[in-house]
Amino acid sequence: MKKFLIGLLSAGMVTASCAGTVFAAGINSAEQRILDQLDAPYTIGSITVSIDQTYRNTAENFFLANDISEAQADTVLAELDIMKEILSRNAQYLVKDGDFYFEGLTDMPKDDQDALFASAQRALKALGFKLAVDDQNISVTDANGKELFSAGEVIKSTGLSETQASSHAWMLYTGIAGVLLLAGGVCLIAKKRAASHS
Amino acid sequence: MNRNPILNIVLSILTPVIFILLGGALFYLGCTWTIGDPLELADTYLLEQRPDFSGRLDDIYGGEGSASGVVSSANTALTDSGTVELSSIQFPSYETIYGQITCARIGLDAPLIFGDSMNALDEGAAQSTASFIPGYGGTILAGGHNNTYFNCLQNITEGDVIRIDTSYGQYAYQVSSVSIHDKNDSDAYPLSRDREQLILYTCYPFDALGTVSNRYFVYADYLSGPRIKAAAQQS
Repeated sequence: MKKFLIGLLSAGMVTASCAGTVFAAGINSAEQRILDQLDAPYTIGSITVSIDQTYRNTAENFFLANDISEAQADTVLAELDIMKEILSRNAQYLVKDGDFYFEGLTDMPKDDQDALFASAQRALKALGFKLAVDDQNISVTDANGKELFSAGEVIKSTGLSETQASSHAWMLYTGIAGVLLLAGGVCLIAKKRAASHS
Repeated sequence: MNRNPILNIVLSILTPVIFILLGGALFYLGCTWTIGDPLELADTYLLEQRPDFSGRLDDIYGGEGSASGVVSSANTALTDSGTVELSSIQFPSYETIYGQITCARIGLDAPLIFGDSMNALDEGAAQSTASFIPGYGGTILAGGHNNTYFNCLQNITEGDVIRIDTSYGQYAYQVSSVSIHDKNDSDAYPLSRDREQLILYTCYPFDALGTVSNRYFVYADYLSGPRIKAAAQQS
């Protein structure tokens, strides 16, 4: 749910670089307006929150690689305002013990949850991207479906279990296990027959 | 009473097959999550040849220690000082190799990839998109597998110099400290936009099997390399 919130709040402006390398474009005035909005804290109920630095930086990297127009910025900022308004009117679910309660998103009325997601989708669509949300992850893809950004943990899994090796050996182990079970079953049947004949 | 001979034959064949499949399925479903990681290790040893993950990523660096084929109109040669125009930089897209990271003393030599997907981690040092490219003036955060490209980090010490050759300039960072933190400790990786620092991380312990929560962090301060001009003007 934390990922859900972060993705929805930031989806309107959060992507990595678009597909294909480009020469760095710098930050134009339209992009600066969005970054300024991301930097500005906002109020939900009795608390003040701000966008996670992770997503703010990712947005900046995106703008370094891409130029967006004033019209696109207007759309993104409008959707951001909508998302903030939805969160603000659901403060009773989202504020707990003086802090933001991410899990409270699931307690929001379903209409508001859907509206939040729809707003994020519109913001991304203005930039030519799509938002995908499932139980495990939030990701942003380009028009061709190539993943550009994933709202996962900042620190990834970098251990032995994560290296990709042959994926077929499990069939060998399954087969071995099956043979052992078969052998055990044969022995059991033979034992029973021997006992019945005796 | 004798059964139909054909039925006997069919049962003689089907019964063990079904037994094997059911037994194997139960074994797989019931045990994989506990022994999956040792199975992964066994997978690795059973490989007949090294997995080839090349070709899955874009490459604007070109390798061989220099950005061959990538020469901007503003800069006729790579530099390790001064400034470089932001507009002259070919900004890496997600899952793009845009440099090489090395530390000769410990044998570190890995492609630097923008984006930290599983594909990127397979092929080198994978940089978080929440961090910035060298020369921009912010944190550069990159992870690598502890059994491949970043295994040598266990030998790195304070004072070692890590070099990053990019498609637009050559950079050096000096290791200031090494520490171990939980992967969820956000204080361990400050994503600053005001101070250029290289942070490398990998799973810890280095010989651990399976998923671990600790990470080995290497912190290195900026030594040299061209500042990106637009960022320099903003700071």
